[in-house]
Formats: sequence, C-alpha cells, structure tokens
Amino acid sequence: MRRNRLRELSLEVTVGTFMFVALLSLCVFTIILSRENVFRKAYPFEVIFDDVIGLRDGDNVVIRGMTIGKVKAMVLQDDGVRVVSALRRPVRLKKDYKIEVVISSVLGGRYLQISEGAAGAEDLPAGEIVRGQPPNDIMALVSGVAADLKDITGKINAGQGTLGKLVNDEALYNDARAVVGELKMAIKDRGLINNLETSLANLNEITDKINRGEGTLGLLISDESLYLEAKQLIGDIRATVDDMRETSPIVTFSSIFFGAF
Amino acid sequence: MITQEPEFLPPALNLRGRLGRVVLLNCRNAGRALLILWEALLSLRFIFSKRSRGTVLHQLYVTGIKSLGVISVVAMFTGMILALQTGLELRKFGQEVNIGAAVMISMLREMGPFMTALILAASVGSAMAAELGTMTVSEEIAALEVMSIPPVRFLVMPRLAAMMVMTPILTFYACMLGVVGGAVVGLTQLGVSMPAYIDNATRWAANKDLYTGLFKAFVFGIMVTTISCYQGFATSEGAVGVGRATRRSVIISYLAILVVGYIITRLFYE
Repeated sequence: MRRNRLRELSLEVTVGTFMFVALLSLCVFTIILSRENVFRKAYPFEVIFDDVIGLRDGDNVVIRGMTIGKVKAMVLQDDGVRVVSALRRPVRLKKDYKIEVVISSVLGGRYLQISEGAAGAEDLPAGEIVRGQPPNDIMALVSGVAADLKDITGKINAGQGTLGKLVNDEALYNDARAVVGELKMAIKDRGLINNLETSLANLNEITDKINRGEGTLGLLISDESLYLEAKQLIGDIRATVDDMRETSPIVTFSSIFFGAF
Repeated sequence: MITQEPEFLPPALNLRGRLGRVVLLNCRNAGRALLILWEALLSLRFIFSKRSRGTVLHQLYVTGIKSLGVISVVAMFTGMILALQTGLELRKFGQEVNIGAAVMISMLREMGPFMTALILAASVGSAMAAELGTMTVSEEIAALEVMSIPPVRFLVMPRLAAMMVMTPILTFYACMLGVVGGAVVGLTQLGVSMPAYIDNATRWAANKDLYTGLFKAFVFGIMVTTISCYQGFATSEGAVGVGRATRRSVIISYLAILVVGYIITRLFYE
C-alpha cells in the first residue's frame, strides 16, 4: 500500500515538474517573442506618418545607427498612421528633427530612423505632435524612372528629337554610309596618298628650317634682336602719338586763328 | 450505449448502393465518434475526482514523459534538416543567417504540431485503440456498462485530458529542440554564430506563430484521442479486429491531422 503511494507520488512529481518547466519555458518564450524586456523601463514615443510603407510591429527604432527601441503598435487614423514605439532612453527632439521609415535591405524589412536635429537648434516644445517624413518608396522611384524611360523610348520610336531621328531617319544612315564609302575610295587612291606623303615631307622640312632659324620665318621666331627692335619701335610710336596729342590743341587753334585771315 | 451489437448488412445490389452505404456508414461512425467526444468533454468536470485523478496522472505520464525520447530525436533532426536544406540554398545569396527565422517559423507554425501529433497518433493513439479494442472484444466495456460505470468517463476522459494538456506542451518542446538542432547545424556547417541565429529567429517569429501552433496541437490531441478511442470501442472479431482497429486509428488520425492542419493554417494565415 505504502509502496504504491510512493510510486504514485513519484509519478505526480515527474509529471508536475515536466509541466511546470514546460509552462515556465512557454512564458519566457512568449516574452522573448513579444520583444519586451519586462525588467527595463520603456519610454513611449509617438510619431504620425502619412504612409509607413510596410513598417510592422517589432521593427527597430534607430538613432545615429544605434538601435534604441522597437515599434510597439500602429494605429490607422484620419490624418495618417500613428506609430507608437517603446524606447530604452528618452529622446529630446530639436525643431529641425527628421523621422523616417527606412528600408533596411533589398529583401525587405524596415526600421524607424530618428534624427534628433542639430545640437544648437531650439528644442521642440513639449506636447507638439511629431510628424514623420513622407516615405522614400524605392519601388515608387523605380516606377517613376521606368515611366520616364518608357516615355523616352516612345519618343525615340516615334522619331521625335535628335535621338529619334538618329534612330529612325534612314537618310542620315545613307549619308553616313556614302561618306564612309568616299573615304574608302580616297584611301584606295594611291595618287592622293602620294600627294599627302609629299606634302607632309615638305611640311616637315619647313618646320626643321624654322627650328634652325633659317629664312625670314625662322629668324622671326629664333632671333631675339628683332623682338627688341619691334619693342623699341612700338615705344617710339607711342611717344610720337603722345606728343601729337599734346600739341594738337595748339595746332588747331593756330589753324583757326590764321585761317581767319 | 458504447457497446454495439454486431451488424450483418445484406450485400449492396449495385455500385451506387455500395457507394451510398460507404458514405452513410462513415457519417454514422463520425457521428458516434463525435458523441463520444461530447460525452468525454462533459465528463471533464470529474477530472479532479478521487477516482479519476490517478488515471489522469497515469495517462499524463504515458502520453507526456514516455513520448519524450522519440519526440526529442525526431524534433532535433527535423530542425537540423530544415536548417541544412534552407541554409545551403540561402548561402548562394549570402543570406544563410536567415536560417534562424526559417527554422523557427517552420517549427512553430507547422512542423512542431504536425510531427508531435503524428508521433502521438502512432504511439499513444494506437495504444489507446489496441487497449480499448481488447477490452471491447473481451467484453470488459459491456461489463462496465452493466455495472453502470460510464466507460467514456472512466476510460476516454482521462486519455482526452492527458492529450489535451500534453500535445501542446510536447509541441512546444519539439519546437525548441528543432530550433536548437538548427542552431547546431548553423554553427557547425554554415558558419552562423549562435547570437546571430537566435537574434534572427526571435526577430521574425511572432507570438501568433507560437500560439497558432499550440492551438493546432491542442486540436490534433483531441482528434487523435477521439479517433483512437472510437476505433477501440468499435472493435469486433477478436484479435484480428484489434489489429485492424489499431491500423485504422493510425491511418484515420494521419489523414485527419493533414486535412485539419491545412484548414487551421488557412483560417489563421490568409
């Protein structure tokens, strides 16, 4: 009888312990999945967005690249979406604050990014409604670019604009082809090639002579005395012109005076 | 009355008659099973009575503690396989760190409840059908009824209570072991550190996943008990009948788990 009772007691203890441990683990796991730390004080933080572009409960709240909290709830209201976050430390916003929903990777995922504002800026008055930035929806941007591209390709196909004419106008193609053909013909013509070679050789000879200071052009470039003389001449001319300018009123007066007689 | 007189039906005249008989008999069986379930649920108020307490405790022990070994092995290796298969594919894109989320969500939503229910149907459910079937063919059930002891309260209710409690708990245990198995594979074969794995796993899984899985397990527990006990009570034709009842209880339980599992998933994840 006593042995049976002991066996039953051992059974009770085994089952009870197992269930107790399982339920305790379930409680702990529930708290982990709810992403709440019950032993740490949380500071509520509310922002109103026009559009949260897929932000969800439990997403991170980040300040200067550091995670400081989680999104707790989102409420749809008349003027947008109210996002309630629980932060590990209080945030003091300046008047030039900026809060936005940022896409964390190309595979999805969002986080709430808070920029408090410049250090010297004025504090945001207490109780003022905090509004988030309109979203930079990557997909919308891509859609916009795609629409622009479609518009451009449509114009090209319709033969509008320079590129459209370049693509669609056959006359341009034919002209280009004719020019290329003529160039080919010219290259094939040996007489022209020979003339060009002779001209180049002559040009080479002339530049050699100029470099050596031979001939009028060579002396003009190489002989420094010519430059000095030219400079002297310009100086003399300038002096003469100045003299003339100074004497011109006397000459004029004399001409008028003596012209009267 | 749980015990039924054996019935001998005349052969069906044509295919339509045979088909109609199969449909009607299955409907009748389902109705009887549901009536047994209803009676067992009503009897749950006697769960803490002096007579039932010992039986319930024993059933809790058999269902929970005795199944731990097989569930541990199956859950651990399921988590490891999941992690390896998804990890190898994700590594092609440099995203192997996401195996944490893949294993955790798969285990919580589907694999945990599904595997636990299948194991319990195969081990505990078949044992129930065999035990009650043997009692039926040896007319012990009839004797209980003669003595005005309700067989459902005496035999089904403790089993039902044990399965209702233990299936979700074992499911949770299986999920946790599966996640641990995935972490081991991530650490040793995919180069995913333990903190990164745990952070990823807990970041994407939600309480809804956990509790939907546990609810599913709870429903599976009720289903397996009902099907197994009904098959046990419906046993006839001696030892051969016991074997047939055991086999049928496992097959029907498996099919019901699959179908109801899909319906519950569809209900919660539209």
